[in-house]
Amino acid sequence: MLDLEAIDKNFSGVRALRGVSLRVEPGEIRALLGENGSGKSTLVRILAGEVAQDHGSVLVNDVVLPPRDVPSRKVASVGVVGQTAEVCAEMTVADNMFLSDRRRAGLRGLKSRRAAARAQKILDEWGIELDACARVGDLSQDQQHLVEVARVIAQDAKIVAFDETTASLTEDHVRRLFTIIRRMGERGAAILFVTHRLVEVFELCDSATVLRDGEHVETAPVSSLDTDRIVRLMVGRSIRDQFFRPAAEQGSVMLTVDGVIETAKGESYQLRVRAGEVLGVAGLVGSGRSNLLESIYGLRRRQGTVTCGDRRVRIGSPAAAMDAGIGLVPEDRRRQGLAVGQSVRQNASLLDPARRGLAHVTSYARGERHVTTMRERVRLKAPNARNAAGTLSGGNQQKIVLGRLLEAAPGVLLLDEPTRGIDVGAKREIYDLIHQLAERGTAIVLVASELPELLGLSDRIVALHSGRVVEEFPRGVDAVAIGRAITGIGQVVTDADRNPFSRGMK
Amino acid sequence: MAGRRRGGLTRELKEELTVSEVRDRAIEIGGSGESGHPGKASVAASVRARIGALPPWAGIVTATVILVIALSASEPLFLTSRNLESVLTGMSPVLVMAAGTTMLITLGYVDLSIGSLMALSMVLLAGISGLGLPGIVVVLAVIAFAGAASGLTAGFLVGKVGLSFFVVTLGLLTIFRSAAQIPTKGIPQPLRGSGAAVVNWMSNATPGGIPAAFAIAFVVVLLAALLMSRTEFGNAVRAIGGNAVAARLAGIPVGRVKLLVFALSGLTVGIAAILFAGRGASADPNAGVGFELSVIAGVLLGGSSFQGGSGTFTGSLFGVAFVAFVQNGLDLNGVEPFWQGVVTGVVLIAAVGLELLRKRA
Repeated sequence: MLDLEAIDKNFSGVRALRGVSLRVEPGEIRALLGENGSGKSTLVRILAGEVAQDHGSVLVNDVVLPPRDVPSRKVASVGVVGQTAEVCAEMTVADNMFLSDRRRAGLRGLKSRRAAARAQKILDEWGIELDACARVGDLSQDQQHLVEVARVIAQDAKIVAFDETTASLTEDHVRRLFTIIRRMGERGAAILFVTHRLVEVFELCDSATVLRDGEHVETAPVSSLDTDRIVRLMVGRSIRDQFFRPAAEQGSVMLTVDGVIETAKGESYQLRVRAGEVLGVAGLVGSGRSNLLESIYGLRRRQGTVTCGDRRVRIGSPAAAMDAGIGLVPEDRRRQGLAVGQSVRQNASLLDPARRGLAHVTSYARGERHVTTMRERVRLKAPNARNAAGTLSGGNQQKIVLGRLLEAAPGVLLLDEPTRGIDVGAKREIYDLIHQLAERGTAIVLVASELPELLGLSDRIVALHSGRVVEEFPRGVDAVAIGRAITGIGQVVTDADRNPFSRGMK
Repeated sequence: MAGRRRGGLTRELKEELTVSEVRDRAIEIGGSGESGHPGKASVAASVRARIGALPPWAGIVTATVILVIALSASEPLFLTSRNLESVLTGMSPVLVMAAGTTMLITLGYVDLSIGSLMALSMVLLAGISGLGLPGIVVVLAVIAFAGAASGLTAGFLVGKVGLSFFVVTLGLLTIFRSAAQIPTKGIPQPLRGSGAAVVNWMSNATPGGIPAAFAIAFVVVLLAALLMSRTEFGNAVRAIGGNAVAARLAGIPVGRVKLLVFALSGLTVGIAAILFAGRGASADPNAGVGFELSVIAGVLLGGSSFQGGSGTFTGSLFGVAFVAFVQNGLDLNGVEPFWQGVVTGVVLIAAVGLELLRKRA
């Protein structure tokens, strides 16, 4: 069905892929694995016709597809779903689904009502809970992703590649996506599934191909693999993939957040974090976990009070939060954390204008000092401080965001998904850093989607669901219990509590 | 959940290596995409890499030097002090405003109203020049007026209210123009009294053979460059131009910085108004039409990015000079002045195209 034959690709002299071959049969769900920079995404982009390979060929049903030619992929029924949803926000779900091939599908000039009906039929048939007439910009991030999946379905794609699509999806939508992918497989599509989460491989995939340094390392049925072996193939050796942070000594209460968030029973919740404590916040995307961090950091105006040490923090101003000693590592590194087009030095100096004052004199050397400090303290690997921050790996980008905060030595650190999209080695370094910070008496609030990570790092975990605190867990709790809490399974009683009639009955 | 457990991610695996060894290995893998393997790099790639390492103003400086050499060789009149004085004086108002626009473009903005604001400032200058105030007060009042006019309108509406810079400054372009024409009925006003004397000196004197107007413009560019490169204010402007969201999260007062940059740009417009009015000793309310485009073209020619986040004052200086020398070259050759637009446009588009190649390298 899909054959990639001896694909070579160099980017300005740097090898991205060398002699990679793989074959996916109809109905097969193939995982494509490898560390960041191993060439997975490049391979998918070659398949998608976005970039041209230097050597080798892409064949679908033994027909060679021309390199760097996106339209030919449509003809050959190749569909690709990326990590971010590429959708037109102002158009309806139906229009987005038929975006690429209105003409081919004979839909040009088709009344939008008929297009909508047709789209709705596909959505219903595949169990995708979307309204075909809804404006895509009104949908959540997750739903927008489903729109992209629906587009691939509408194209009747026989070969579908998912490039880290699950990285930004909530657990709930990952399930939905898996159901869809399985059905695609049952209908005879060949699936290439790129992911960083190994659990997904065991849950979804039939076989797995591992790339390392741009070369094919192994292709094997998933049944013959285990986590250790896959990690060994990816990194070249085995590592402990689970990290358990030893508890640090806890001091006095550093951060108190009052009345900003409610419990499931509608009571005001007081969130307190001690010096040296890591408070984990568990919750699905949209459960209010980022809102909580943003409220503490003063980005959202709402009632309640935030106290850092003995200082009340003025809500509504990040500068005030920073003055009070609160630092935030935002969720979306490229959008909120870095100017990817600017130099490493400029990014490393980002906090200076606010911390020192606009009227202060600065210098080239000051920026260089920041970079040097980061190289030492967070082991930043940046060969040249003049290079754009966007040219660094995800892990090193994150080290800049974290490193410059550490220079400010905040007493409270808010970490929103600090290890998203970074490779295994860099993750481990971030874990080490979190541990060191806690040992030095920093109070840390940590949001993380990966439960093993949250469990391994946190001293205490609060679970959020629908913007409310559902439950609080001590260290060493079972992942299943948290999973139940954040998906709202354990909530029957509290839901009844919210109903005024049942409250009266009690 | 069952799947997760079966996957065994929560299980501890045998540790065969120390963490740091694994980490180094991982970095090696992760880093291989950045550093490159010199052994296999072709000559073309290394040339491209070298071009990529050049500063953004390298192109325009080279082009200007070549142009000056060519003009010196081919035109005997070019290298006369009279010609050079006239070129340098002529480009001064645009050069002054280019200093402000370079700051704005670093922020990711341009101000389309600067040509109109210059005319309005000139009308104010004519209005107060005959009042008997000391000349220097007149000059400072005009500069302050232009700074305030730009800061309180564009700076406030774009920076604080959050309106689109394009719409706001386009609106101000027509408002300022009308404001200049209404009190004068569109008729040029003569400069009189003490103000006129100072203005005349600033625009036309050549102490030590250097045109005062150009010296003033050069100092303004130098001050702006120092402000941007040596203060946290400049750092803040670059940060906002690079990623306004990240800048806000870093505690930078984004709105205030934007307002300040528009106000500073306004100050340069005020200075330009004085230099321009002094040349003819009059204030023409219809002057400066299209100046905003000349200024932006000069700045872009210099290599500043329209995307924001980076601006180069060296580039802007040479960009403006290049356009001036092209015009002068055409004049000296007896080519109709209307051709100047074609040459500038072609060079501008070519320069931006080359910049793209440089970035890709």
